[in-house]
Amino acid sequence: MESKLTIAGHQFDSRLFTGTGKFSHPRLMEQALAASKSELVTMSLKRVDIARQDDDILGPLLANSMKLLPNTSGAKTAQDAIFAAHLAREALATNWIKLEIHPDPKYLMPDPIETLKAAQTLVKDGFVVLPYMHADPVLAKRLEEVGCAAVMPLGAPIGSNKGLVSQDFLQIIIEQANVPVIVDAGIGAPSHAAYAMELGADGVLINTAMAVSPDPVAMAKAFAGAVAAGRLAYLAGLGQVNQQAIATSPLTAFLD
Amino acid sequence: MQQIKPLRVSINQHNTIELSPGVEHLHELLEQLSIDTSHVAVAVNNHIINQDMWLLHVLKDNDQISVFGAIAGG
Repeated sequence: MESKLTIAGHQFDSRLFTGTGKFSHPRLMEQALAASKSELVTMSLKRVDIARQDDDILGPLLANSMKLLPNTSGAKTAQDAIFAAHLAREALATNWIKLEIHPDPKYLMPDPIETLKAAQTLVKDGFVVLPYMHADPVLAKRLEEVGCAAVMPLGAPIGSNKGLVSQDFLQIIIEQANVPVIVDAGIGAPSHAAYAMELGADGVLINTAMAVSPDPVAMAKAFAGAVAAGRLAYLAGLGQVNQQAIATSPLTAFLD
Repeated sequence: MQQIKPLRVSINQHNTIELSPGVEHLHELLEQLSIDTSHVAVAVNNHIINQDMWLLHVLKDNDQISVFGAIAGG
């Protein structure tokens, strides 16, 4: 029987989380989010441009009662990320934080050592920490042990649309996790999202694939359907994969 | 009589401004800058000042003020 996704005591009807970056227009973002039925959205923090304060993405999100998950994007060290998390808590009145520390601008690979250090501190500071991480089963357990509310392993590099390149390691993480596993980054098509859910992921976070689609609203619907289908298939139980054919019809009666 | 020189502070690492007459506290500076304060965090010299302290926080010459707000992101 289906149970709701619960993170730090908060229940979600939708297992599709959505990032707010890269949409061509805030109104389009709002429409896509509505079509996706996502209940949690990510955003970043930046120094305000005093001269033109017109980038109000929060209005529609708050009006639609979305759960906000600010990220620490731009942080290169644990210290940066901890500062960013406290800024986010102050600005957005939430103690939820997507911890991401990626010092390398080319591949945006998350720094495992700085991420673990920051997670330890932020959990002690009262944050609900959801760390973006490589699909490293050992690190996933370490992050769980220091009190992270979920883990967010990557499928592939951020924005790459490559899908579940890390599939084998995601499966180990899912098998071993005692906290929700949200596959984040690299999911480029609804089929990738469905597959992550079929593997037993508790949710997925989508941004680029939806936002840069020529029709983000239709793509949001496609992802919502894919996530629901993948989850249903996981709960139903997938058949065993076999090397050779196993007949679905009797093979002998016709010629006998 | 010697005129008192106005205090100067930097805003978001770029602009340096003079505080208007009567501006002594952080909340008065934010009013001077016409900043929508509903969803922002403010740091002075890299220390976050909680919103309930904006009324009381006295500004000093050469303070570095950083105002952060939410933007789209993944």
